[in-house]
Amino acid sequence: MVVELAAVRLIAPWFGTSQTVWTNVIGVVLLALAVGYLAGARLSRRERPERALGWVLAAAASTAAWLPALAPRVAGTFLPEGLALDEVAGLLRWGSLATALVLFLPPALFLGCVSPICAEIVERARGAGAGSAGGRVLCASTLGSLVGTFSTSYWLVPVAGLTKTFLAAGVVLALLAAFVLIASKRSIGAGAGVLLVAAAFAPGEMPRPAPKDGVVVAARESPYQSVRVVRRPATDGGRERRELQVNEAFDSFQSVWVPGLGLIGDGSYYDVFALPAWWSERREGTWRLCVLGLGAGSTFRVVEGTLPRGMELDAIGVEIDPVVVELGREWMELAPGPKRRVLAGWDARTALAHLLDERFDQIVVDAYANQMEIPPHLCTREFFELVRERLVPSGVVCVNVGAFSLADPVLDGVGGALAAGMRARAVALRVPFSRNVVLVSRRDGMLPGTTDPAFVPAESPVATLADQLALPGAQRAFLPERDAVLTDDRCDVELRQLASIARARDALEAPRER
Amino acid sequence: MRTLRALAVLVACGSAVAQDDPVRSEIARGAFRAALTAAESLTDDLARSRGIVEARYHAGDLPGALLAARDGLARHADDRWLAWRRAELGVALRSELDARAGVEALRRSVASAPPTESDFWRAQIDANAAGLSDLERGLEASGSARTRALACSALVLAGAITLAAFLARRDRPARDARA
Repeated sequence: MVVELAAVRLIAPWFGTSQTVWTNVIGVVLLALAVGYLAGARLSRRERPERALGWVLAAAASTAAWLPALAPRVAGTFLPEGLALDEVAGLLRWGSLATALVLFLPPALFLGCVSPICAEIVERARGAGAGSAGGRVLCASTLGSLVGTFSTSYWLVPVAGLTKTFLAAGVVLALLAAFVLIASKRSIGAGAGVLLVAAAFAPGEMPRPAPKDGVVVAARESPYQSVRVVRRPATDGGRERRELQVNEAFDSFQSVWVPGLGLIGDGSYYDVFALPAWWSERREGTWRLCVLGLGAGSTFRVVEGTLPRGMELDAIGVEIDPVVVELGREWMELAPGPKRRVLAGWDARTALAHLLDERFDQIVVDAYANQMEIPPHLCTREFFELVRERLVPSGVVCVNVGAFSLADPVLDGVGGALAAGMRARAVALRVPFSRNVVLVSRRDGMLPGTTDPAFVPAESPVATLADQLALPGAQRAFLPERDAVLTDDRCDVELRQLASIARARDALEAPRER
Repeated sequence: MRTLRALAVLVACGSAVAQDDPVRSEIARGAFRAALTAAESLTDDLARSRGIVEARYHAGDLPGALLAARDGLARHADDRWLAWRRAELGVALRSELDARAGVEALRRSVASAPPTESDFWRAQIDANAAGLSDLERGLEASGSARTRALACSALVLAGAITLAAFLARRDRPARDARA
């Protein structure tokens, strides 16, 4: 279980942690175990199965311990660096499968050999019959998996890091191999050899894909993902930029920081989150904002810097990964305060349902990553019904979605669910100079249309952006009476993601909504 | 994303040259819808095509600008400006077809450019040809990686299944013999 659970994290910097990647890794491990069981059954018929067990454990140790060193080379073979997202997208499924097969099939196959051999040893030693021996071995094996599961997720990976996790797995297996070989008496030399090889296991820190045009100033492992901050120096009169990236091998980011509050510009979707305060009838008082998927707090900074002069921001952010918040505090001026509350370590839906009993003027859903990692429970009609309950009557929800076009199947599903959950029209606004789309909907259904003068608030810092968003053909409407929407019971967002990738190259041919 | 951001910076710097004054003045004051309306009301078809492309381009509606450039170039095949935009937007939006068509159209039409402009157009050809090469390299790398991944997956899966079949077959007579 240590190898299996850490496996997805190991290849996440290249392929992410979408359900596709999890499916491929689990499938490969199951295949390897199946073959391993057959091989173990055959090895168990040897005269001295203890020696076979020792060598199988030694082989598993060596293949597991070297995974961090091999992963960059293997993953890089199937996902070359420097590709754009639409070029990468088609590789995620097959590339992650090939990488998982090459990296994880050997150790999992060797580990699969262990159970049948152990059952044979127990049967021979105790003469208790195959069923009894098998039951005992399976019990021990499952308890070991239980310990491996919890220790990997809650301690090994976040505290020790990926390299040391695999190293630890390798060392434990090597020690077991040495013990078994030495215990089988005639194999003292072999056991010592295995220990020597184990001692030589010292692969360095696993190299991550290097960022383009930037310097990594901080990098950490969290229970959820690999996180890093990349600094890009100011060029040609521009501003310095800092980007927070998670599991990234391609040119995207999860949070961005530039000096000063307000609009970020340059195709940043965060800027669209500044619009609802200007669509409000109010020009003074407190603007209550809730960000689900806060990241390092980019939305706080954009909205705070663009509110109408008489308004004050009272913001709360929910971020599932506390390490992201820590890096935001250190590198992106995510300052704590009574009006800048952060719920770190909480799932967005859980927090919205159980922790936040207040009502907001604006809720931002920014919890989808890379077009491929959309948590299914955060894109259903029921989720958006919950969002609706947490909004004041004139409250607005904004959802950031990656989409290759306005006809993208993912956008189609999420937009339909949003309109159904909000019981109001939702509009997809294509962010200028970006592949992002921001879906917006207002609880009372009074969202200004793009031809409405209120959509482009004159004399405001968002006027130019609003004018860009209002361009004919750059938006798409979703109505609440749509039948096929994503629900908690039936959410096919993964299939939509695959369809989206398949159609990515044709996106420019798609009909444009007017 | 970085390519699009670079283009956003380029547009913000005003490097693109609008050909039609009413359109340009609206763009200059950040009124992109008005610029589009102004462009659409132009009577000259070429000026209208250019104006629509320019308004959408500066508004950041890059797919819309590309479609307009493609459409305009279909009617005005020798127009350097539309060819330039199609090439540039094709590179930015990773559309190999548009980038190549734009660069080729630009190459064809640059011969008739006034001598005072030839350096400018040659620079645009070079820049977009380099972008096209980069795009083609990316697509080729992506295609090769996909082929490698498919071949490797098929090979390893076939090997694993064959091994499993072999192990299962060899195991049966031995057990029978033991019984």
